[in-house]
Amino acid sequence: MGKPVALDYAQVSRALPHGRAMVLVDRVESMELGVSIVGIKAITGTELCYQDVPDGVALDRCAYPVSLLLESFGQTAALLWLRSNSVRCEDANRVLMFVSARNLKIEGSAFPGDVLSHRAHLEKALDDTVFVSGETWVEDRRIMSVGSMIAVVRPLSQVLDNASAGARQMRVGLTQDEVLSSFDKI
Amino acid sequence: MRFPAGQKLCEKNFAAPLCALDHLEVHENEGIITFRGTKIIAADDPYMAAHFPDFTIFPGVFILEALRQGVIAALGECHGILPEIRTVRSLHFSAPLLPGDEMILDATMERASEQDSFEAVAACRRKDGTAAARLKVEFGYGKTGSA
Repeated sequence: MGKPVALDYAQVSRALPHGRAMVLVDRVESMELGVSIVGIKAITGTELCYQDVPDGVALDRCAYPVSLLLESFGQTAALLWLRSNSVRCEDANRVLMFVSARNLKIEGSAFPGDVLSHRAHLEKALDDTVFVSGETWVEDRRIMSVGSMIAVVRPLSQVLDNASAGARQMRVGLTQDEVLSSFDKI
Repeated sequence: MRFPAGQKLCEKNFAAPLCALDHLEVHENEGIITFRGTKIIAADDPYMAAHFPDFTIFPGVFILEALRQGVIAALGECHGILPEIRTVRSLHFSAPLLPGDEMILDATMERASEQDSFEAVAACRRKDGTAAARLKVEFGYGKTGSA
């Protein structure tokens, strides 16, 4: 059995390629490389997803969006893969892309003041494809179970090639090499 | 309560990462509800600058968010409760959406075996016809285990 590994917020934000507003994991409570991880995210009412919610709405309107719940879980799983595979800056031209999920059951809601505990398990890793399952808890309430989530590692250039011609043309002044060389967060 | 066909979606009274649809058209025929939602992917939308700092890609989970917002607008409230995601049966992303792309989301909803739940099947594509995502999601009014 491997030694548990924990990550603080600074380490999490350096490991993920996301900018600060989209880093949806605050710390890693424990991690067994190649096996499992527990990631923590605290929900607060000052987050961007609450900025347009009118004052005085009922609590159910303040449920943390499932889309962000899923993204937060996915980032927890990504941290397990990144650390287990020692991905470094030299690999910055590759991105971990969430491609599919099955049987995600939403059993409850989370609200500002709650702390999400994502428990992800690495089911299988084949070449550049990662299979993950897991659960999300708030204290003693399980609010989400993830039957299967699949992510793939792809060269950023391949992702760019699959983008629409119109969207690529909007990046006037940036060559593909310039984009690749600036993508160094991982 | 339903959104009139063609009404622009721009207001939220619930937590959401962004306004995930610019326009929505809803139709109902013999108990089956269909809608088409569209959005021009915008780099200055919330969260977008952070995904990722040096190259912006519309987060795949925001396609799920778009379906959610379309369902809320199409079905409306029931006794003050909004429809919410209960189960994501399957979700598959096949192409990225970048700023400037137009996202087109077509969804069909049918009432499920449980009285207060609906099955939504949706396909998302870019305006150039490229398939971007497929989703099968169960929605219902209220979730069990809420605080």
